[in-house]
Parts: sequence; C-alpha cells; structure tokens
Amino acid sequence: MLRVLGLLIFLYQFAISAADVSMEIVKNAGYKPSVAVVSSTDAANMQSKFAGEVHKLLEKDLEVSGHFNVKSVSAQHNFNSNINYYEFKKLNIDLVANITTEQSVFEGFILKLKLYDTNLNQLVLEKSFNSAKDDRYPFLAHRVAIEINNYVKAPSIDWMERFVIFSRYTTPKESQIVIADYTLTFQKVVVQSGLNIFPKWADNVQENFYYTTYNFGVPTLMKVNIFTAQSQKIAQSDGMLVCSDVSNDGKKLLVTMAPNSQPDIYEYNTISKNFTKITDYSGIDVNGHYLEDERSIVFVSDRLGNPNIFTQKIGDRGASRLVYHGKNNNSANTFGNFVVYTSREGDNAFGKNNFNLYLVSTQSSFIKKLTTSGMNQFPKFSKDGESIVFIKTENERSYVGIIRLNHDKSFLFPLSKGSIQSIDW
Amino acid sequence: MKKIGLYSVVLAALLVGGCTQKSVQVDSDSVSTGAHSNGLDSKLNAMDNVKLDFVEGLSDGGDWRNDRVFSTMIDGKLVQVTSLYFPFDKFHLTEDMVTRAKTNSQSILAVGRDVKITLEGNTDEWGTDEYNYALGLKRANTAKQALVNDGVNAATIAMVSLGEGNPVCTEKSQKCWQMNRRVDYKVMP
Repeated sequence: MLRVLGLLIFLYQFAISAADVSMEIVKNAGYKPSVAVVSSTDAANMQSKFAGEVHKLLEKDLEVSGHFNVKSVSAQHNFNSNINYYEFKKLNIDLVANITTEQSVFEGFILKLKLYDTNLNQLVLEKSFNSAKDDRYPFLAHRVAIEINNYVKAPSIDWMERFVIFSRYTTPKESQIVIADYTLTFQKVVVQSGLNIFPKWADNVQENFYYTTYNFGVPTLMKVNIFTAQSQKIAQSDGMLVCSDVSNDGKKLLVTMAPNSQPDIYEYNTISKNFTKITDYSGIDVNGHYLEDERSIVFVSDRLGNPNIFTQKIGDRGASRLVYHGKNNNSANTFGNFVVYTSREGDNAFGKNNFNLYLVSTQSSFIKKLTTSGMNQFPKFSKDGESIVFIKTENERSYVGIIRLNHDKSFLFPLSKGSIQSIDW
Repeated sequence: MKKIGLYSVVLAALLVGGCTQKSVQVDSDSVSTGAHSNGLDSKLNAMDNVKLDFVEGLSDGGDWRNDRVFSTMIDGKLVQVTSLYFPFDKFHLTEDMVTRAKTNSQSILAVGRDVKITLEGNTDEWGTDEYNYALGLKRANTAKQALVNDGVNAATIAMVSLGEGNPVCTEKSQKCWQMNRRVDYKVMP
C-alpha cells in the first residue's frame, strides 16, 4: 500500500515536470519552519561523550528531511527552565529543540527533547527516549527528528529509522556484513570472516536478511534471522549466486545465478523452493529488480556489447532496451516503475567524474541526472521511494549520500573505513 | 517571505490557533517504556547476538607487480601455471594471453587431463557490484574454454568469481588495476 501511495505522489510530482525533463523534480513546497537545536547546559549532558554528536546528527536529520530551515545557534539552555522566546523570535526561529543526553551509570543512553514553538510562546512537545547501549545514539537522534517532523505534520520521515545493511571488504577474500543506521554512523558487524557479500533485506520489517557466502566452497545464498541469530542455506550455485531483489511480500526472489557458468536471472519461489529462469543470453545478465507489477523486471545486460539497462516480462523471451543514454550503465535499482541507474561516463574508466546516477521512468521518456561529480555507486531507493541512498567517492574520500528526490537535494555523510561491496536499505 | 504550501498552512494554524492550543503534549510513557514503540531497540538487542563467524581462506603472497605463477606438485611432477590478464571491461583473451593459456594447458596436460583445477575470475575496482562478479565469472569461463579446447577434462574444472573482492593490490594506478583483471588457476594436488 505504501508503495502505491508513494508511487502516486511520485507520478503527480513527475507530471508537473513532464513537459521539460530538465526541470526540477518538484517545486519547493513553500515556507519551511525554521528550527534551532539547543543543547542543554545540564551537568549530565556536558559530561556525555555523545552529546555533541547527537546535536550534530539531529541538525543534519532535520536538514535532510527537507522540511525545515535549520539555523545553527551557539546558545545553550538549561533543560529544566523555559527558553526566552523573544531571543529566538528575534532570530526568526519558529521552533527550538532543547535536547539533553544522559549516560546511565550502567549501560544505556537517554535523549530528552523539549520542543518550544516561539509563535505560541509555548512548550509544545516533551519526550524522552532511551536505548540499552550508548553507541545506538544515532537512532535516538533520528527518532527525535521524526517527532519534530510529526509535530509540524510534514510528510513522514520514518525511513530515517530503517536499517541499512552493507558488505565491506576488509582484506582480499574477506568481507563483513554490517547493519547500520541510514547515515552509517552506527555500525554493527553481523557476519565476518571469509567472503560474505550482497546482503539484502528479506522482508519489509527487516527481521531477516539474505547474503552470499563463499565459505562453503561454492557461492551459497544464506538467510539469517536477526532475532534467533540462526542462518540457513537457501541455495548454492557454481560461479556466482546473488539475491538481487525480494518481492514485496517476501515470497519471491530475483537472483543472478550461473549453474552452467552462465550468469542469468532466475526467480526463486521461497514457498515451492523452485527456480525459474527468466533471462537467457550467452553474455552477462545480472542485477534483476522487480517493476511495479512484479511481472516485469529491469536488469543489466551486455547483450549490445556494453552493459546497459533492459526490461523484460517474466515468461517472455525478448528483452527491451530501456536506456538509450550512456555507453556503460552497469547497475540499477527500482521503485514502482522508476529506475535509478549508474552510468560510467568518459572514454575510459580512469578519468575523473566516472560514475553518475540517473533516474528514468519505464512509462515515459523522463530522464534526470542526479549526480554531477565523483564516483557514485550502489543507488538504492528508500521504501517510500522518496529518497535514494548511494556511495560517493571523490578526491579519495568516501561518503554515504542521500538524495531527497522531492526536494532536489542531496546530503553526504563521511565514511570512515573500508570499501563498500554492496548495500541495501 | 512568501508563505505558500503545506507548511504555511501548518504554521498559520499554529500562529492564529495558538489560543486554542493550551495543553502541552507530554509523552511521559516513553520515558520509562524504552526508546521506540516499533521495537527498534529490541531488534538492536537481538543483533548483538548475531555474530556469524567462519574461518576459511586461501592467501597468496608475492609481489603484485609480477604476473602470478602458481606451482603445484602432482605425482612428483611440477605443474606451473600463470594467471591470465584481461583488458578493461572485457572477457576475451588478447593474443599474448592466448599463447599463455596454451602454455598453461601444456603444463597441466603433462600431468594428465583429469587434473582438478579451480579458476578464479577477478576484476578491478571499477564497475559495480553484481556486474563485476559476472564479469569475473565470464573471464573464468574464457580460461576454462581454452583449457577444454586444449584437451583438459571439463568435468574437473570448477569456476568461481571473486569480482573485485580479491585484489592483489589496492593502489590507484593503471598498473594495479591491470593486475587485478585476471584469472588465477588453482591446481589441486
């Protein structure tokens, strides 16, 4: 249902700009409330080692939401007394988020919020959130951002609480599977040792995930339940085996498999445990993703000499070229009938500005360039389709990027270590 | 500032409706009931117990600037094979690599046509996730076809793609990327 609603919003927004593909995706929504985050002067907050991080993260969350003008102020304020509304009104600040953090003497972390509306001269929201471990503070910051966003009744930003799962190379033939928050600030290694790649959430509620391991001799697709910590083998295949996409109900998977040394796309039914071959080509077919009806797929194929994006109905033999732009488009992701893909630009791979992201529709000639510089890879739509997460590498620094499609803006969070192999949101 | 759209409506409601909104929303329950109503913290607790850990791995030494040579003794005979290297984004053999593939076949066939071999396909860091793994597999398959054409038993050849996950070097240089676009032969004793 969410997918359908999101798609309707999307279609409406694109209808606005359909006449001119170079137009902005959507017009600015108008006035945005200005908000200031003010940390508490309480002793507990001053002593908390994550207080500064929470402050910065909350400001960034509010900014990323696209629903606020975030104003940085140097003011600090005692959490137990009301703010001086006049001081903030003078600065044209509508909302003041006074926050304080506490670290429990045992393990645990508390983040408290008092939200003041300077137009009402009133404390309008007071909430407290805690977590069992202090390194989980990013989720508390995201939660507070969601609460402030809900207060102004702006479109949901609940996606900020979703987990990101990714694989990170550590040494040759070694990679870890890591679960993180959307900014990759919080990171928890859940699989390590050996080559463990292509993690993919198995369900919308993010309780199970798939990944491929090379630790059993041949590529093996595993499924892990995070509550039971149990893993089970789903399938094995010579050559390669990757879970590329999961149907909305979690019952069908699109996998790239090479049982006869030939990478093709198959659909796996998790109930009947049967594989059905979808594509059949002697070159490379990979990266299958369902379109809206889940009866058609988008995939990457080199059938025209270079990797490009194609569509095919499940059960049909013929594939149709989707993208007529770029010489090397080698990765794609879908939401509804929209496709984001990676395009390598320039005559060879070794210049600058090598990989950019483009957004297209399978229903029209709509195309939009989403990035303009650096190496931009692994684009993945959020569950509501309004955002795209990706990894950007530029000037030898890596970032996780968030493109807010409705706001025509992107935000970057620095990545500290490791080379990302694959990511899912 | 021109105030239009959803937020202007929201804010206008707040501005003019202030007198009607007297009560402060205080969610005292959340103070004691945990961080999130959606069970997020319990998921995080559960994740602390997920620590799947395998021990495995072949490691190869040597200077990455040199072509990789793998030596194995089988029945007292030395089998020596050298990795095959590929052009950027391609999985066909160049002329010099066709010659090298023949030399490798001869070294293997001197022991017998049923030698067990695993061909590991690799790519450079360019390209993206799945495509690189498929490209590595196609390179391994090219090496396999060369062996089979020369008389090696196809049934004893296994293939695996390691994509960009098994680099011999991580320098940002043409030479390094070139050395990562390769197929390694692992001949089993």
